[in-house]
Amino acid sequence: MLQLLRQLFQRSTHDIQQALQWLNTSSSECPFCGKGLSKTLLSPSFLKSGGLQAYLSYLPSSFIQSVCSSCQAAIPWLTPIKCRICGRGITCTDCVRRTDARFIANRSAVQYSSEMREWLAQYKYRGNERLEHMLAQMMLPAFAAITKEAAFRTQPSSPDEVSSSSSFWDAITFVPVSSERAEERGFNQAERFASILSGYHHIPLYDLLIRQRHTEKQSFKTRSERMKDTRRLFQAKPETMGLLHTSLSNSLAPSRPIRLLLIDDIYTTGSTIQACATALHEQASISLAIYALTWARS
Amino acid sequence: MMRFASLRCAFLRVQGGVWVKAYVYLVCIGGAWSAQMTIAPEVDRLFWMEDGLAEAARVVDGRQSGRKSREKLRSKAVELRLKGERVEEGLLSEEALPLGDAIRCVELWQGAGAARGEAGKACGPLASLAACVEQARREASGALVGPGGQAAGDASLPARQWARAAAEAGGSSPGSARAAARAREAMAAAAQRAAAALQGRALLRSEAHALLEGAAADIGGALQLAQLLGWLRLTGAVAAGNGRRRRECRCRRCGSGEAHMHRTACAACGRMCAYCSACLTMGRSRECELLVLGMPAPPLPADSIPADLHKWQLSPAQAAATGSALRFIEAPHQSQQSKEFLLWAVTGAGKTEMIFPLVESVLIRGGRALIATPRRDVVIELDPRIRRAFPDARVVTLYGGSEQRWEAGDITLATTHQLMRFYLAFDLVIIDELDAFPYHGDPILHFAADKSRAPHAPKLLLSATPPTELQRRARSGQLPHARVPVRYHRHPLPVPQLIRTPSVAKLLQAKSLPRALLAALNHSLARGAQLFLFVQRISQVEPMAKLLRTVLKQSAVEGTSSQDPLRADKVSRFRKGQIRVLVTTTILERGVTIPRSDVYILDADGRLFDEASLVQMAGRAGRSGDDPNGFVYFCGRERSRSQISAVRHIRGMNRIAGKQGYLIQEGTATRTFWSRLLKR
Repeated sequence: MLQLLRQLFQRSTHDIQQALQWLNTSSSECPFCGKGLSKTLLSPSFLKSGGLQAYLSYLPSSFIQSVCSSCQAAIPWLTPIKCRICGRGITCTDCVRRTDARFIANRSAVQYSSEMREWLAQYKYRGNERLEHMLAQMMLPAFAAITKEAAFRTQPSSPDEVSSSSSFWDAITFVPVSSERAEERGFNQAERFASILSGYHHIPLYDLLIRQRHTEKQSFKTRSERMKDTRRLFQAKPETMGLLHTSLSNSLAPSRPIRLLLIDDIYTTGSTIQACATALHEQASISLAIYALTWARS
Repeated sequence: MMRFASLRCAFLRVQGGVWVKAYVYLVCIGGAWSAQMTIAPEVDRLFWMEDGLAEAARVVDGRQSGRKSREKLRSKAVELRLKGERVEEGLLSEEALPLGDAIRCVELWQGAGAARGEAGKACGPLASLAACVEQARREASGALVGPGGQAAGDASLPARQWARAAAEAGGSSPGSARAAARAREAMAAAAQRAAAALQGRALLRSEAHALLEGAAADIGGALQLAQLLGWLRLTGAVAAGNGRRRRECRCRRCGSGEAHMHRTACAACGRMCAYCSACLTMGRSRECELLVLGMPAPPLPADSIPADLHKWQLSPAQAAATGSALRFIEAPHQSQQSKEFLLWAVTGAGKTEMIFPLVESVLIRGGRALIATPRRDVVIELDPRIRRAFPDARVVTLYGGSEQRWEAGDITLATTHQLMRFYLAFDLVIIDELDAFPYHGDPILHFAADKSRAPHAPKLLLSATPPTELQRRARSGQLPHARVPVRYHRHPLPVPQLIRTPSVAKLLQAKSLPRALLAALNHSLARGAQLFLFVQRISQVEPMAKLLRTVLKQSAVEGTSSQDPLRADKVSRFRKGQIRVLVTTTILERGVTIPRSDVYILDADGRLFDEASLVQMAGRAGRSGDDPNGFVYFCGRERSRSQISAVRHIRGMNRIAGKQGYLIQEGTATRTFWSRLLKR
């Protein structure tokens, strides 16, 4: 009798498992390559080394489950990093040379490989907004890394204390696009990423910057004109900057700077981040500690 | 001269930008109020309030043919204005609306014509328009709309009076007045050019921009004027379906319904806005995106021009089928249903040659023909053959990344995806390989193909292996069709033979081939044939190629698949005979013709090979008149249902060919065989 019951039980669990697998395979396809997700769900073979495994433990399970294993294997995660400033995987002469950086450090989720370029283009230019969440989730491991890094810089003694909670950051903001661009594209990818990250970690999202004008016709300008242009490209909004100050003025310890995380999609030379940081510092009445988190490092 | 130029600029610089927003306005003409939508208000003001533009437009309009269809699209108010009637008053709403709302608002205004007569007197036309705007907004935000929706009369709409600023153009000096007149003529001409270029097109804003590049200084203004005059239509790319619930959206370009709509907060129109995820690869179609629909192609004269079938050198079977297809396309058609014709021609029947006379018939009558096929490879292969057959026609070849994207031609050769950019454009639509992926089973491509066809145009379906549904309709007489059961060289199709072999996975594991298969392969190589070897999985292609290289002691063995970046190169080397054995998947089941070739289908009992696929692959053998009896082998553990039906299909076609007397008599065939052998 007992044996019969056990047999029945095993049968039914088997059936349920099969049904579940069938549901999984039939209802979902990988958002990046469009192929069906079959039997790949339970084989995280892409986790190669222990270090990477620890890094990727910050990826939400929904990401791992909805992206196929070959696409996941194609992601060139940017870890470990060599340059502690810009977050590159190689030693970086740019950052050594730069003396006037207005931001403290940048971390990027992935290297801007041809596949990643294709993924971002799918979202940004083709307008496949279904990818939005996946791409933003890919930034979570790098978010954890930069939080730890920043905490270590502020309190070398006990970095774990702050980094464990996401309460480290006072605010999260993003690189704006021009209004023409926003109208044409229908969204600002940096703003979307920032908003999703802020939702994940309950960090207040502030819209602090405006982009002055199009930079399309850069090619008609001389180098110095261009430099001047990029420098003046962004401006901080006095109203939201004021809002940020007032909302933090009570809780902030004296002399502690506002910790601000700036989000963008791609970090190439760092001039965009630099320009944004400069604009923010100019408008701020108290000191800011600006870090950047970007989706890709090219 | 400088002054003229700058003045013209001032006239043409109207509400540029991205036109995701539109304005609504009212004009009172002939004692009645009329509501319109505009993406370039300054053009409308010029048209209604100033002298010159309406006159210039009337002159241009008179020069065009097909006046009837345009007049249907024009409102009565525009008609009156073109006749020289003056506008009493014009009111432009100050607030820009999302494009879809503005269009809906005008629809509502027109729909409520009678009811407004009463209410309009009481509260004024502006209040009625405000009510329409209000309702369009409510509908868009998802509220269920009841019949009482119109009743909300307390809505108001900020609007301003249109000035009749005759003095603005400096009416005092005759020079500037002349310049202004010239500028208005230029605007009408630009609108006409835009409308002509967009005839038969369905283009998104950015695509229309690309197509009209250089045709008009102010593209938005040209489009707006053309729409006002009924020369084209401006709509939202994603719009409400016909149902009551406005939130049930449909993509105007690919026909996808609510299941493919994805809603996001849109920075362009400032609210939740749906986009179509089904046709995303062709550019994003969304609610606040403009879709420009050009005028349909005018009907062709139905008279039949006696076709010269001889000049195409068709075989008797080809000529018979082509003749009946020709009679079909030249006959005047009444109902929608009867416009499809199936040309069911075996592999190697010479389908391409058979469509030449049909295309010619349309070209002679001044129409445009479309040849579409799902596969890009096939399009690229057809291109030189079509150009050779029609040296004087403008041939436009369209596929992803084609240089000719915005050109218009007499013959359009395209992948089925490209048809999304057409609207009632072609007088003959030919769909080749209609049962091939991705056309078969993809509703958006079927929608696109139907949308590209002019209302009067016949659709010709070509296949060697039509889907069961079409076969059924053909058999029951619902679908007019012609069958070509024989190849152009009049020899029967090679009938597949079965070799029992273990599965490919086992063969690869054992690293050896069964004796029977090996003997057949060696025989094929010995007789000088090139070999197609089909496997089911892409992952088996390379290992199998490697195995064959060692087992056959043959270095000219290559493998290719859809994921091979060198595919085009390998196929062309195979064509040149530099590759003897090509291991591949169903990707090469059609399109590639090798004169002397044998076909091996491994795992023929596998589930990825259905009847159509097996028939197509078997159809690679015996294509040339010099070697009509190629060999086809189904290799597998058992004879599956698909294999049995495929063999039955091939035998059936041979039998019909024999019965109809199309086959070369066996005796003559053997005689030519011996004579050829002796000649060597």
